Amino acid sequence: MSAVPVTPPDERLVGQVLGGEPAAFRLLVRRHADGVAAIAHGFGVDRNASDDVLQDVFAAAYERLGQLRDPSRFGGWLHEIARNRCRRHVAREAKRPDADAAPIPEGAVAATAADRAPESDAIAAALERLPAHFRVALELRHVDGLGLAEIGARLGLEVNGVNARLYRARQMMRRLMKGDE
Amino acid sequence: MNAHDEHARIRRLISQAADDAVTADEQRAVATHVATCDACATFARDVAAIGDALAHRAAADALADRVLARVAPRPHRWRRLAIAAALLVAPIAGIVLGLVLSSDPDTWTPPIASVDGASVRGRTVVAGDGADATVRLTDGSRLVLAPACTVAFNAPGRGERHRIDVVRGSVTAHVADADGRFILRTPAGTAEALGTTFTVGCDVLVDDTPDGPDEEEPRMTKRMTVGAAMTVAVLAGVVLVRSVIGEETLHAGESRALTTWSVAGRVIDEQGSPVAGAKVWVDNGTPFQTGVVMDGAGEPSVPWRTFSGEAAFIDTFAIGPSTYGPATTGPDGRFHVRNVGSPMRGKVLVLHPDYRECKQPIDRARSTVRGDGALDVGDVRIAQGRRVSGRVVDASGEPVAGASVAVAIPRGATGYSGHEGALRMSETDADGRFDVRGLVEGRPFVLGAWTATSIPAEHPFTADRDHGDVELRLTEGVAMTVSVRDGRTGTPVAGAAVRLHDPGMENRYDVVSIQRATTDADGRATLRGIAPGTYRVNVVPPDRKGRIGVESPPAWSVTRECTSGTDNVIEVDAARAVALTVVDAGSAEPLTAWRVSVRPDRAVFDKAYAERYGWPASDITIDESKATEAGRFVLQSLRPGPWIARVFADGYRPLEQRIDVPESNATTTVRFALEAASGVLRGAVVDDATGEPIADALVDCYEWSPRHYGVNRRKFETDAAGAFTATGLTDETAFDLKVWVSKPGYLRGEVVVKRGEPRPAALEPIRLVRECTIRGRIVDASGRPLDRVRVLTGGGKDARDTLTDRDGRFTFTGLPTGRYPIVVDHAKIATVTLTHPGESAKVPDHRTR
Repeated sequence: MSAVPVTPPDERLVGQVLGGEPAAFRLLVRRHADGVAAIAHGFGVDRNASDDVLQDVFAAAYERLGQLRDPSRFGGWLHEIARNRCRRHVAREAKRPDADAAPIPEGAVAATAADRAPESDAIAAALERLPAHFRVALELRHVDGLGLAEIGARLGLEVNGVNARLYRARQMMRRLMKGDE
Repeated sequence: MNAHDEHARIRRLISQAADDAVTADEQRAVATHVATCDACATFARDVAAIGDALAHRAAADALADRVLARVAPRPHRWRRLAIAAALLVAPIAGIVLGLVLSSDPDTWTPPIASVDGASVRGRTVVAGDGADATVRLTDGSRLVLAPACTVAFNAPGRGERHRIDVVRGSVTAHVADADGRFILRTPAGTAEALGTTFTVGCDVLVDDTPDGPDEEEPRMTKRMTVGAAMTVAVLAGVVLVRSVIGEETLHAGESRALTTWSVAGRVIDEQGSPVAGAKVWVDNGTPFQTGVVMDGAGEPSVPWRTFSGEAAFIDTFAIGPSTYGPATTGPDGRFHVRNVGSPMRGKVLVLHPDYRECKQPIDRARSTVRGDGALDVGDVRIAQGRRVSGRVVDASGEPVAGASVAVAIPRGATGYSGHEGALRMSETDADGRFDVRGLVEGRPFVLGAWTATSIPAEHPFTADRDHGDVELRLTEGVAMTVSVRDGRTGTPVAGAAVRLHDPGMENRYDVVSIQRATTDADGRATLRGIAPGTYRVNVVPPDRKGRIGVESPPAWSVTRECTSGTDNVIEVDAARAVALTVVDAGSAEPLTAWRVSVRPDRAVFDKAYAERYGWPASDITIDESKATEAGRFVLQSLRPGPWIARVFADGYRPLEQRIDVPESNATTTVRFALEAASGVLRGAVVDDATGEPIADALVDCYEWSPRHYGVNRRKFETDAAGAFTATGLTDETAFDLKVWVSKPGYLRGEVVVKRGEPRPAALEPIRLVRECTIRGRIVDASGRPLDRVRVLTGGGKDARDTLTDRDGRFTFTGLPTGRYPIVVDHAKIATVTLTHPGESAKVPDHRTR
């Protein structure tokens, strides 16, 4: 059995955002950040600026979401916004007299969404199916970036217990990703 | 220990290694084991992939947080429920209130103190034809009536000061500062005085006063009607406005502090002394000046990223499109940030190298409006914080000039207000000295220093006091060379991103956490300034970083162990290309406009494939084909193996075919012959009110399914009899069919035939309702139009916003009938009730201070 994505489709998420649930927008960003980053990359948007452009694109999408005619086309619509913004950004950068002056060293900029390996449907689906106590442990570790001791403090576990829980969570994630469960 | 136990032990260690919880010996044991155990190596890759994916989620969530912090909140569902409940309850409450509270119209007299140039007939005042007339009211307010203007006074309701109907002509109200709402009504809607001066115009001559005194109407019925209407208006208005603007409840007279277009104040230190040289921004949360930071004169300034010396603040402040400034404080600590747009949720941001960064929300209740119209937010207090200073020396103790110095928040530390990666950067002077200030007291930090070729030196400390004379000793690092080659051809791969992962460094602080380089034309990249040893190096080939129109498949990168001091070779598996050619099955003519959706054939996807090429990619959809005139398009970035491609072209039936992407480097060509779609749908479009046919309406037929982008789209126009015949539809019940009908001046009509339902041969006539329009104008105190002011109306899902043009004018079109609060800068300036389809209402000019 292969893993079946259980994340809600774009059109449902768009409806939820329009219905006043901004949390749904988070899922849309997760899903489409890489697509937008790829577009920005294709336009040659500098890595240092791409996060700003991404913010712009998603902010514009959020603001105009009510104008989206067919929510199932959110992706295409978002990409169109991204292309327009990137075009504008590139044109503006080209006009800037100090375009090449004093760039920030690459290492000085915190990692952006574009730097990370994207989250595949398989992983997203597996994460959704993971029991809550495992999921929370993984999220505290990788999403919130907490250390083992801090995770232990949150979950009421010793460090060894956190180690064991994370290990079992990862094992189960693998099985879910492969559709073994 | 048997083999099974050994595998389990190693996997536990692999899991712990992902959490930096293994010793060097354990790391070696893992490395030795996975070198010979494919299953555990796969486990390690999977663990890394899970971590990467979740870290990606963190980055995406951080992005979403920043976006949501920038945009105006959409109302939550409970607010819409509250609106519905309020609207249900309001009439009953209104009737009761109307009975109890409305004043007796028989005994009530208009609050007129004096009249100049107009005649008074009962409760009606009519201005003369020659010049403006002035009506002074008992509370000190003044009405200036244009020639021939007629107004009628009504008994005010509870909480109201005046309730005046503008029957015809134009009135300018100068509102005295007193309690109670000042309400002017026109046939187009109701305006509430939230500023001190505003103008109301009534373009339409009407015979009767809306809701005005009507002596023939039975008193009880009238009271109930007035009370109910009043209460519905008040409750619905307040609830709707709350839903649009957030948590603020509006009262008459508050708008002086709500409306402003520049922000002033003073920056002081903890002792109350003014701080000069601080940079001040105002973030208004309204992103309409996209991508441009405005300087003090309102001219586009440089984008934020050129503030290289202030990288520390960038993450924290996210100086971006909705941030205006900076203004620099003078010797008296005062600042004035002009042209801040239309602040929705203002915040003052202060940066000074010697002080802690400061973000202070604008408290409108404690702000005052200066004579020049600027909102004075008062004092913004910034704290000095702690400092760390010292010297950077080399291995022989000689000072190192020009070394980078950073103070960062240790990863895993929590409770910081800003982004976890926020840092302060500096450089050493000629004596190797550095001095970093403005650190948050009591927090743990990591001080780091490095040069391009040195291994970073670190000094963890807690900012519970000032730290002086810290010495950071740098040791020269070694270089690691990585050559990236195509795994099949052996040719060098240029432009690949090479990143070094070392758990020992990665989790200390972001600034040196990852060494990166890009391969040159020879496929070589050199990573410098690292300690001798073995590292995980991650390579992302250039053709897998994504391109326009193609969502990059995940998990394409390759991670290998590399050792410093040697020439490491990493082979990557270059992407294959597949050329798609699409033709008309009947004529064999190439089709140039089509879309393709590609997905891995999961039916044959097995574990061996997964271990070689990674987990299944998401579907790749190219929504905008770039086919040549020969109908050819080259699809890149596909992994070897079976894929399913589905091609869509308007007017054709979609076609799904399997593509076998070979191991070889050759480009595969796949031909798709699409059959023309033969489905036909007839219908007609009529005016909802009159039943008259509507000619030249655009009929947009759109077939789609949730799995794919649009399957088929056909557009037609109605003929003189309002009829249309849509052809070229697939007639497949697997797709939804949406028929959108639009015509200027009408609201869009829509008919949906759900998938699974039989397609009708003809539709019922589609009835279009005429759209309503609201227009208005925003001017400043001197009557000068204000452009780029954000105006909102509606609420919940129907919330709309627009910006005023150069003449200060705004227009909302395409509105159905209903009640529309018009909101500017948190303040409701008017409420418009549109009762008839096609109605066009003009909001009185809104004059701000």
